[in-house]
Amino acid sequence: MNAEGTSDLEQIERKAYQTIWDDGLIDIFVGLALFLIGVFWVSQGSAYSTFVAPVLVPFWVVARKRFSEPRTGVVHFSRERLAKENKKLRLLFLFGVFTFMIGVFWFFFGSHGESLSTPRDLNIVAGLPAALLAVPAIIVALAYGLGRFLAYAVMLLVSALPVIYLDLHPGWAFIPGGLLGIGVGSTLLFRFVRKHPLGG
Amino acid sequence: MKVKAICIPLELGTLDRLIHDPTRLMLMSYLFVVDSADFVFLKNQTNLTAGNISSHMTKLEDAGYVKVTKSFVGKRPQTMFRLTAKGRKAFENYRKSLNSALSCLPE
Repeated sequence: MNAEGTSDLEQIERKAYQTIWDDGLIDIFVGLALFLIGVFWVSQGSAYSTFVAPVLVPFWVVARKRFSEPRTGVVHFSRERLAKENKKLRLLFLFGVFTFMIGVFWFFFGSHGESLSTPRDLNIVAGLPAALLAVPAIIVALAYGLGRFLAYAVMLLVSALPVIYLDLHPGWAFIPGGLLGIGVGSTLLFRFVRKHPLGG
Repeated sequence: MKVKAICIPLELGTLDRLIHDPTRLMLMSYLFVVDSADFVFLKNQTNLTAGNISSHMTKLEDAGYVKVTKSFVGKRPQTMFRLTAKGRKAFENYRKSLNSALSCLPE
């Protein structure tokens, strides 16, 4: 503790905030989103993949409300914390828009058109979507103190390599990261349920 | 070794005894860093028993430090706790007094 006792209070606040993400639901939903986007994309149903995130987000909100909150309890954080979180969300949103724009650009000029020059360049472009998604995963890991998102980012980057070098479909790079998220999230969820039994 | 013997009894004398209890200090600390929290959340965070939290919260509520709001979420009862302005001020004063008192102790 420092002279004003602030560091311990900050730790208490951080610990309280971290418990929101201990249920593993965010990992499962992010993993599921990556997995489904990958599968839809590989199976030429890329139109469906655009609906994955908007469909899954409300499910996550409801799952948290119905499943996690009765176990962990309800907490409302301070205005300062909410302002900080809103800033992080804005950053993630802006990056999401940026990623989407690159995706649109790639879709129109990379996959269908022939305007992105050599086949060798196209191979690199094939690994780009997964590599781009690794960046928000790193931002989430740093901004929310969720170290496991760094593992998902690494998995996305590693998965992009065979896609680039073996000239595979870009969608394949999403699937291992998705499965990792589902696996880690399920483990966390199992622990969470054991630690916080309903009405316990 | 520098000892400021005079300031110790003075600062310790100003400590709020209602907050000084370890359990209440823990509960007040959690409520100080958040806007509001419910019974289940505090129970999970502090590992205190339900009865323990109830009895200490009643004392804090009686002192006007904590505001208790009871409601139902669906069929589930929910008890929310929030530090009042008086409680927040009292906690800040307690921290200052304790820190001053501790700084007077010989190392």
